[in-house]
Amino acid sequence: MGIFGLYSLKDRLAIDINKERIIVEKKSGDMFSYRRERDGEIIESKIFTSNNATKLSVTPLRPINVPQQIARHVMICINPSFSLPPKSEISLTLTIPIEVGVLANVVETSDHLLDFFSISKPKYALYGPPESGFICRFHNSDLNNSSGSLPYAEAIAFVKFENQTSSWVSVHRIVMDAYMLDLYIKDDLVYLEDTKVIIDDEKTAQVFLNNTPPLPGLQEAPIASDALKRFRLGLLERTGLSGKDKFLMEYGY
Amino acid sequence: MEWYEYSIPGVEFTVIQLIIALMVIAVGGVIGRMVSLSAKKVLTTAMSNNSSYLLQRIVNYFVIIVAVLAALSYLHVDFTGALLAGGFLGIIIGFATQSVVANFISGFFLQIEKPFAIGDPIKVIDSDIQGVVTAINVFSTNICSFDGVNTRIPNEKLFTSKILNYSKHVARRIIVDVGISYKEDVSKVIDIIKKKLDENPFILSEPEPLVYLDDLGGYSLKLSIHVWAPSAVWFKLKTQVVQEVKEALDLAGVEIPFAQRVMWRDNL
Repeated sequence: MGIFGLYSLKDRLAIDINKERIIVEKKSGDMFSYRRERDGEIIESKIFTSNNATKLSVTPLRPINVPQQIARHVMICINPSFSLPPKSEISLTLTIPIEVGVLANVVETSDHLLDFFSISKPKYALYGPPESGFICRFHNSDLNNSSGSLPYAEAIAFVKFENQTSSWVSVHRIVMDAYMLDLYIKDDLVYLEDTKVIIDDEKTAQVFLNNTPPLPGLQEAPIASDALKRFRLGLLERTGLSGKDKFLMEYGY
Repeated sequence: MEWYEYSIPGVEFTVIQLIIALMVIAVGGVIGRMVSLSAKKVLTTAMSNNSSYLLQRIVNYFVIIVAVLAALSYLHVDFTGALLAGGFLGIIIGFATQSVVANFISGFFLQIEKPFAIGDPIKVIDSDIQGVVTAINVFSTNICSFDGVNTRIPNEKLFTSKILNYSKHVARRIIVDVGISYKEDVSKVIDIIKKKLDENPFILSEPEPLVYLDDLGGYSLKLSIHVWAPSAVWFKLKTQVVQEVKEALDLAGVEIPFAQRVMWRDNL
């Protein structure tokens, strides 16, 4: 069994994810203590109550929480950058950062985010000018990553690049709205939804998140907050973008 | 004239009519409040808090004014005389309420231009007031200074003042200067500082941090450190960067010299 999934609450439950150790212990009756340790040091500690239907869920999260919610976009810097001929397309395997969330989950009704953390070291970057740009969670991704993703720290992103211009272009980075990302799981490997980048001209590109799994047989990761999902779906309905989520990269790629 | 009949020059009305007129004004007040609350629900998602607040106030006052005019009309108040007198009265009121109108109009243009929003930390250069904007009202704006004191500034004053908005842009630069001893290896020290800066998640990777030898000073080599940070954490980071650089240099045994003066004395 992998780390991601549902856990029944017992007298004592311990889950190890890299250097992080999650320990849930029954205190009395329906009361449980939750704590997360790193190298023996307690990082997070709290008490929660449950009923018989409550389970603990460990799930990948979008990279928006750690260390604090100051960015709603992700910038993937591609190393090394690559050049694409005119009127051509290429599919690449990249990685994006993810976080790990621990939810107290009453199955199929509601969930509560108990804790979240990042295995990888978070960094931020500015996309565009300071007056109108975007603060992004920054991530370096190897071009055609052959070693796969870093477990519990990265998700695999299959990204198709299409150059619609009539000249060669060099691609250094892609930026996407982190709140719109859908993640899928299989055997503890995390995948980003099907993604396409259309390069319109010398400076702009459009990043489409197609709301479909990149491979068959993947399970969609639950997101931490129902409210967020509702907000997102509501936004899609209001804007008429029911099928795809789009981000316009207007400050270069 | 019966006991229940009253008159003012040119207008005659009964107690019942007066009560009805007052009720019209009262109902107008209630409707104004209801319309204002409804507008709040609709406008909250459509525009910023301060624009929504100002528009609610305008809607509320508009409904009340309409109710007052309707009540006066019901009492058969003849507005012809009022219109004639209004010309003169308007001039008098115009002079008397010049600053009120100026503040109102300035508030309106502040909403259009949006030099700041509620929650923005700003500095009004002309009056040396700085703090966080807590409310933008019809005639004035409230600023809570960083030590917790509320200041009310007339909108006209703000509209005509130079204003620094610390959070208008998503990112801001931090500049820290540090002096190191002449005996130190500058390249090595720059590497130590860059490595330390890279450990802080909030120091932006792009634009890349810049560390360079800026000046050959009187008693030290002056290094200049330029980093960019999200505006939301700029102040916290500013203090962190200074401390982290100092700690990193101390750990590496890099000397940060202080001003020294060598005194020579002749043998007397």
